[in-house]
Amino acid sequence: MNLFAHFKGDKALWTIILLLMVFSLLPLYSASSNLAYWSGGSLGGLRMLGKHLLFLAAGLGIIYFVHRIPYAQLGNGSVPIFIIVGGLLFYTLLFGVNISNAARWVQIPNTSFTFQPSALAYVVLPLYLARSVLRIKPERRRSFRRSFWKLIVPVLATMALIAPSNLSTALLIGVLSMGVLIMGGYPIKFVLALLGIAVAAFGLYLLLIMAVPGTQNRLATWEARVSQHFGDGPEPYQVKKAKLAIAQGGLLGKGPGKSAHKNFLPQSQSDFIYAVIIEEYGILFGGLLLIGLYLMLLIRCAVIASNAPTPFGTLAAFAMGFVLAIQAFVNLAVAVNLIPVTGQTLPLLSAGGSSILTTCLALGVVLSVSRQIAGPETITEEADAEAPSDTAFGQMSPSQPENAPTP
Amino acid sequence: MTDQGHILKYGYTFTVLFILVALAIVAQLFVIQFGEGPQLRKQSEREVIREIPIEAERGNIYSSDGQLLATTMPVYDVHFDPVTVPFETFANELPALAKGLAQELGLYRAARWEKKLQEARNQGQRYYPIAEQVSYQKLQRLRHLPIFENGQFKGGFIVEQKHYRKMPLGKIAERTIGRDRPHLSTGLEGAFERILEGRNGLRLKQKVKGGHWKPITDHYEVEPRNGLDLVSTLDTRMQDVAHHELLRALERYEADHGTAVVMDVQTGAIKALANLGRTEEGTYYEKRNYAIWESTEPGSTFKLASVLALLEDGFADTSTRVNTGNGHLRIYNANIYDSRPGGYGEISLADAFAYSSNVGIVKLINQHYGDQPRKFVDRLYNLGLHHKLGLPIRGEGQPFIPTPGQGKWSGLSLPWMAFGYQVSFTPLQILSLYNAVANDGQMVKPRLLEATRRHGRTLEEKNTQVLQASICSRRTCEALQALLRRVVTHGTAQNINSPQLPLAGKTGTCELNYWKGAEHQYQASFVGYFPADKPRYSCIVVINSPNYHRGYYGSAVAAPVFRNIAENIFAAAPKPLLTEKPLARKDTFGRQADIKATLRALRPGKPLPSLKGLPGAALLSRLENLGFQVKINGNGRVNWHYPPAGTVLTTKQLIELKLG
Repeated sequence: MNLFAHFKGDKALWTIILLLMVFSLLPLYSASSNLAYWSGGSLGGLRMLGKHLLFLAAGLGIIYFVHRIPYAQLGNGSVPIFIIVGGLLFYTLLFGVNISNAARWVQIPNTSFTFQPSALAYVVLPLYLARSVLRIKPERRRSFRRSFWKLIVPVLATMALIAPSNLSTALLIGVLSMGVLIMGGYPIKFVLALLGIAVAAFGLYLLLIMAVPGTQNRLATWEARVSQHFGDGPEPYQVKKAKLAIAQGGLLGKGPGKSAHKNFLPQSQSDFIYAVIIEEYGILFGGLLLIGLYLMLLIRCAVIASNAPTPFGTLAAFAMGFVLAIQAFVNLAVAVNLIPVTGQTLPLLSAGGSSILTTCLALGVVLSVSRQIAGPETITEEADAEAPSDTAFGQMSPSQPENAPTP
Repeated sequence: MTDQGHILKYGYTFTVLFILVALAIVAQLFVIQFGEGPQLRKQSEREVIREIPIEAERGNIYSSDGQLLATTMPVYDVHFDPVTVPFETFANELPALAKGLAQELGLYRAARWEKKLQEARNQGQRYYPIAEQVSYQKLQRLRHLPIFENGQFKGGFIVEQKHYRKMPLGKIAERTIGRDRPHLSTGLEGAFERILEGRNGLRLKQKVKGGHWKPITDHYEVEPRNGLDLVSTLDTRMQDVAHHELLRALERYEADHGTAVVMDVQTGAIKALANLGRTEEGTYYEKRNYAIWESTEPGSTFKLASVLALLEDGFADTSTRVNTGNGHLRIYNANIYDSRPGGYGEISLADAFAYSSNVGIVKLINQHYGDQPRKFVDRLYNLGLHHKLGLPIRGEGQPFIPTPGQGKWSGLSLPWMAFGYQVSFTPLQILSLYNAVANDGQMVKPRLLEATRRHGRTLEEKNTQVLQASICSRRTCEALQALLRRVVTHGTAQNINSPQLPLAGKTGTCELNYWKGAEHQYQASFVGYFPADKPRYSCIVVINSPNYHRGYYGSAVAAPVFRNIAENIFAAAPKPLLTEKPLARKDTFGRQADIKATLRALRPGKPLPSLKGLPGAALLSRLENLGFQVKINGNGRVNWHYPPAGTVLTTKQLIELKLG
């Protein structure tokens, strides 16, 4: 118990996080097994493993650090952080590093590290929205004009900044934002208005792209992906390979490191890692176990949300759970060819520092909420000052959704 | 008013939505796994896992005296991808590369190389041929040239390894050794392809990054079995002799092509098989396997079969008289002439054969078989002459014997067959008939394969195959042997009679395309065996279309080649082997007798005769037996010696010889 003295909050969630982290080492282990055959002696595989371990350690550090902070303060902190993220997104749009024809990365000065601000926006924007939507007094929420600047503009701005380089992420962030706003009691018609503006803006943007020569690459990519998925043309290469890999896996898999397809499956360490995991560990030990872990993560977040002492805690826990779930399930759905190819990472599993660190940030927030479920005294102490009257609800069983007034 | 209840209501709804998505993913997972699974797995195996053949090593071909005739060597094709080279490197180092290529490969001068490579780059060529079939050593030198030294990706240096079948002894017996080609292998390579090529192994490999294939297991699915080595019956020394003697005659008579075959009488082992055809420039090379392929009218050499029939059927013996008259015989509206104007008058069958009297032989045949030509033809069939020999080498010519009442049989057929027209055989088929006579009636199948070997250990010795246990009675056979000997001692081939080495055989001079009435074209041949008293080797020499003005008689054109081959094979001293050109014979000791006489004259206290042209080995043993100290350099025949001729020798004298 001593060991866990510092690890406060939901033990089950901690366990799920650690399991996922351990699981994430497997594909990298197998990658290093093929080392001799393709890297000509360089330690490519081992270096990747080392880097991944480093990120996991840093991620654990972030979770630990964040979960010690009372979540109300995290909510307050999300405002300046969101502004910084907005600035970073703007910077990325202008000076971002191009990787596979998409400027999504910003280089950290004087290092070779690149960072993806959009991954940070995934976490910070919903948190900011959760805080902001609950802060607006219910009667003022009815005024679109009043809430416009605080809620609609940040969402649209974030989407607009991300869309040129990463349309799918922008769309998912939009969906996520709408979900948070709806949960937060924002009138549905306003949310629809937001959707309308976003669609109109996107239409305008498409026209702009088609008018300016030399910017059509991304457009072509989207078009191709979507038409390939729904059309009856040949399946795109990666999708075919991913399906081959899954089919190869069978129930029990071919064993660690035995994946044949990872060698020609593009993005086998991130976008299509699920297919490789199934090939090596089978549907039982790879496919179902992994999807089960993510489902448990989501359900655990819901349980924490239902027990959260304040509305903000509840909303934040849901929002963070959904942030991870939407990325995870979109990634998995791509891998099994349910939806067109998008560049969503699998939280904690995919290689890539930005994804791991921001995932840990989200998990830290949820754990922070769970930490404060423990006793009423701490709750009053740290309760959201804006909504003291809600405190009582936080301790009540959540089994009374009828009480909630519909906006 | 917002409360937690509202948040939870929507939160739960969304959570349930996510769970549904998760279920859809799981469902899809099972669809892929079990629905499309079997088909996908099949496809995956095709694309990702393959049975990669592991090439078996092709066996070598050796001569019966242990020389390597054909072996497999790796060679390299070099291509250049000028596009992949960075602009600056290309611009700076191109002249140096061009210079290096000009030095290493020749082909073009440096400036031209430079231009070619620059053009290749401008045209965006990515596979510009630099050199083909270069050796490993040359490849290493090319690899270190400027630009190339940067490797494949930065230097555009593309290397592909290939296997090259090399004949270490050059062009000797090239057609007989043959070529190993994908669909049409010739010679021994083709004949014993199955033995030589072995069996490729298979190994399961899985595709990994960069187009490489990684073995999945640590064993082969099918173990590669290297091909066996072949030991051919060819003897490089005899082959060399036959090759160069034939070449000399072809050059001298400007013939179109020719062949010379030496066969071991008892075993049918072909010890030498030379085939030379003329190029437009008048040089010769192993063009086709004439000995095996070319079926022509044999001419007078076929009289052996006619006489054999006469003797065997008891219609004549060697002393049977026949009137050749004035050397002219008219049958229907056709004429048969003897080569001597005026004819031979009344002579014995033995003389008719020895002088190769067409009239004599035809008269005898006509007299005894004229009313029963089938009997004569049946006799030929009994000899098995209508069958191919069934050689393993592809492309054996089909023998042809006309049958009475069939096809183009006419009143002229029988008389013309009697002296070797209207029938058609390959040189090797004729040789096997003569060989049977030399072998006391037993006809053996000519063979080229002595044994198969693996790692130097003999696996299987090939046995002599008997085609006909006896082609005729012992008496007939002995009579034929005597007749063949008489050709050399008293007949048309007297010019090659040698007292040291008794030869036996028959000349043949056959007019080609006589029905066309065109320019005279002849085929001169000589076939026989040696030594006549105790036959060891049979040999046929056929020289096709010699220059009419230089000579065309079998006795003049082909018989000397036969004699030279025979003498060289039986010469005591080893001849210089495998040199491209035969030694000039100006002051050589061509004959055994001369050599022996000179050697005998070598004594201490006597003046030294000129040793030039003496075979080195024989001389060396003689000198050393006499107690001289000998310093010897090179091999072959003597072309310089010290002390000079005329010096009186003392024992313990140092004699220096330079051979070659």
